[in-house]
Amino acid sequence: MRNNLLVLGAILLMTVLIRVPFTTHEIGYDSFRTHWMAQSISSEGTAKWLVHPASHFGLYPYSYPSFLPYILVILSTVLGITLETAILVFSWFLGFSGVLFMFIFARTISSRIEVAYLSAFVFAASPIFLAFTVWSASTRNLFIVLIPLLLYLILRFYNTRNTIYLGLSLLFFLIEALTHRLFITLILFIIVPFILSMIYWRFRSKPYLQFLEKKLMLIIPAAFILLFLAQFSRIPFYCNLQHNYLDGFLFDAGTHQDYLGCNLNRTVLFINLILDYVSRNGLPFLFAPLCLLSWLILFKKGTYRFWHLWLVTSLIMGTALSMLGTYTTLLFLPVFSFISAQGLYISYTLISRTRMPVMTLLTLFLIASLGFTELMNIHWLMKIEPLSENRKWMNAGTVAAGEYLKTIPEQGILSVDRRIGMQVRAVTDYRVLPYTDFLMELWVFDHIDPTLQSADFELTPSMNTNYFWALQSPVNPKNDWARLVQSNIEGGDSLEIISRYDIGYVLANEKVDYMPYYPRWEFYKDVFNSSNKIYDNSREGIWELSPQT
Amino acid sequence: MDNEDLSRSIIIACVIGGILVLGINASLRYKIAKDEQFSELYVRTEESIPHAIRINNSHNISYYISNQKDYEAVYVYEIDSYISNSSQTIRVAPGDQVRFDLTLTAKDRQWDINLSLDSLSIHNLDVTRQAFISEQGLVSFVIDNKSLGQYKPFTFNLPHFGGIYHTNLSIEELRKQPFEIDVTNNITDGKMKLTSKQHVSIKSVNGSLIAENNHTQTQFTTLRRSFIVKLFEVNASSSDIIEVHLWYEVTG
Repeated sequence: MRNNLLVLGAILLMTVLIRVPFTTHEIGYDSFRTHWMAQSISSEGTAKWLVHPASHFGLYPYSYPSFLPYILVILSTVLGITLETAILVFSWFLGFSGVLFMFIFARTISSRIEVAYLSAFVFAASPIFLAFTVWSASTRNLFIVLIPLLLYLILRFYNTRNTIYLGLSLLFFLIEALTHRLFITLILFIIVPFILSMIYWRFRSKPYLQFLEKKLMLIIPAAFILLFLAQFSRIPFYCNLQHNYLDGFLFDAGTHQDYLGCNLNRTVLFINLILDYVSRNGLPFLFAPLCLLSWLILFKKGTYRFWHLWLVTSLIMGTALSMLGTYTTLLFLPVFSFISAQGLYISYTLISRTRMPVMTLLTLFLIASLGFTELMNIHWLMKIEPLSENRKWMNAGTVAAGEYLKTIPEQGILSVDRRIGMQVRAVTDYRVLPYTDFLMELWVFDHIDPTLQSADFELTPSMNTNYFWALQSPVNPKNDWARLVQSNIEGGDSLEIISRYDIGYVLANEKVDYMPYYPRWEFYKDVFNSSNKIYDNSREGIWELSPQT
Repeated sequence: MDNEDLSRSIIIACVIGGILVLGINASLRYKIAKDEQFSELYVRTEESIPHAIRINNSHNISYYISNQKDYEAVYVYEIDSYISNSSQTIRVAPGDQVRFDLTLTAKDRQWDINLSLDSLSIHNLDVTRQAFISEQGLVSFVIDNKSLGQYKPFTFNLPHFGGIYHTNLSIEELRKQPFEIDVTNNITDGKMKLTSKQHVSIKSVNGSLIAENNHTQTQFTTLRRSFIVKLFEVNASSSDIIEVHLWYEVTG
């Protein structure tokens, strides 16, 4: 028992150590959005975009599931800390919870506690989980953390038939639905396989299923291979998804024209996909096939258990969408972590029968996998983007510009760089044009014109993955912004647009030379040449627009 | 090998790997924090920003410097404007903010020439051919602003002059002392000023009568002027100059 606590304690300590951020502020566009939503809830006392029951699940136009922003506001208020600090504290909490939830899930399905330890380790140290839980308020982080808990509760309900577990399963499913729209994939890839497996498990001894039962050893790998290979086919749906692996870290599968013609190099696509999965799940993922092989043996012997059937059904269904990359990895991270850990454990037991120093090898491998995770984290964060410097986290100067704006009368802000606009919005909660794709969905409830109510808009089906319905509105801020920046300061429709959005300030990063990219942005040129520049920190500058207009 | 070894491996890996990652992160953080150090220069909009300044009135404006660096910075702020040009050195402790006040006083309207027209005309007058006896009272142009009605003068009609009346001056007198007059007019209307300067002379040179008209018209306008405060750090490794610039207009 003491030893158990020690191992778990060491893993928890590791999750804290690797989550000490190297950035000076929070990370990620998702985080800036959640931060802004929390800021808005904090200042308004309510989430103004929740105007319909479906809004709570982000299924009504221009809404977003708001459980996490509410949690952050509560945390910030109760602890008396800033929202940004609340995001940091909550990220650590998620790292902790992830380890514990993964441990109890793995412990429930594996008879070996060592596999549960390794599962917790692999989960906590997987690059994708780390990326989402280092000072970030992406709603995906809470979503991922709750998946192993949900799997555990469903399985406990199945094993014990105790309605408390059913109630808790439903409760946490509801929380998942209030956290991220990905909850729909939980239904498709977790709940449906669970029901299918339950039905099969119930009737598998029946004569009409005996044939199937004996052929599971063949059917399962055949289904895996078939669905996996289908993604490299010319089926239009998959041709579209292949774009995700057009360019990889090492290889490119072809040109954009090749992609349009569905002529990408299949071998490169395959390599890019494998590299992507390893880079997101971590080095232990390399051992996953060994676990799947061991499961196949169990299926052949007929000694498999219910959860084997459930997880394999779930994985088979998920394989059909492995080209989705990030989202598939997020959804299956607990399962991947478990099969990676079990594969690692199998290797460990096999090697321990030889004369090789297995303990040293395992220790080195685990340290190397932590190093790999750190490497991936740095790689993802430090990538230089074409139009800006390292914008994946808030720069101290950007925060300072936002804090300055908070000291002057609230008015709309026009930002040259939409990414900086998002960050400043998170700090200030002031309206910012242009509305990015992230904020577009929320703009309507943020609009100053009180006559524009959601009921005034025409609801049309949308294939946009962000929402299932789109509002056809009489006012389009994205178009308005485009019209504005291409006008002179007092020409065209600029005065009307400035007035409509109540724009008082222009925010620009002077380190970035925008003009070669956007030579037609007359409006900004006018501002730079004739408006009062009231703030400068060498990174961000703020111009006062009002006296000119 | 038993599973105790596996547990031990996990513990060792967690501690060593965790510390290793922490060390890498700490060094990265140190570097990033260094790179992200900055200074701020700003004005507060709730304080009055001088969009318009009246002549001989003063306008006070406060500037703020904030040092977000981990050392005491020595800054120079330079004023670059029509009203004044100067520079000052100021020390700011790390994390501190200092305020300095500047006074803007406009001594004049600070007109800028918008348009200038010069014209010069010289006429050599032949008294016997060009002159004629004028009728009393039909005066179309009066150079010296005097009533000339009681005479019956002889007149020249000249471009740029109009009717020139020679009343009580003989050519002999003009030879000794040419007739000369300067007329200046100033018209100011809001943001525009029009200045007209005219020099007219009639003189006798070698028996010829020469009329000369030199006319200069200048249009002035008041422009918005920038009042720029630039800030840079003395002995800084980077050459960053930050600035706040305000636009003002001088009114009458």
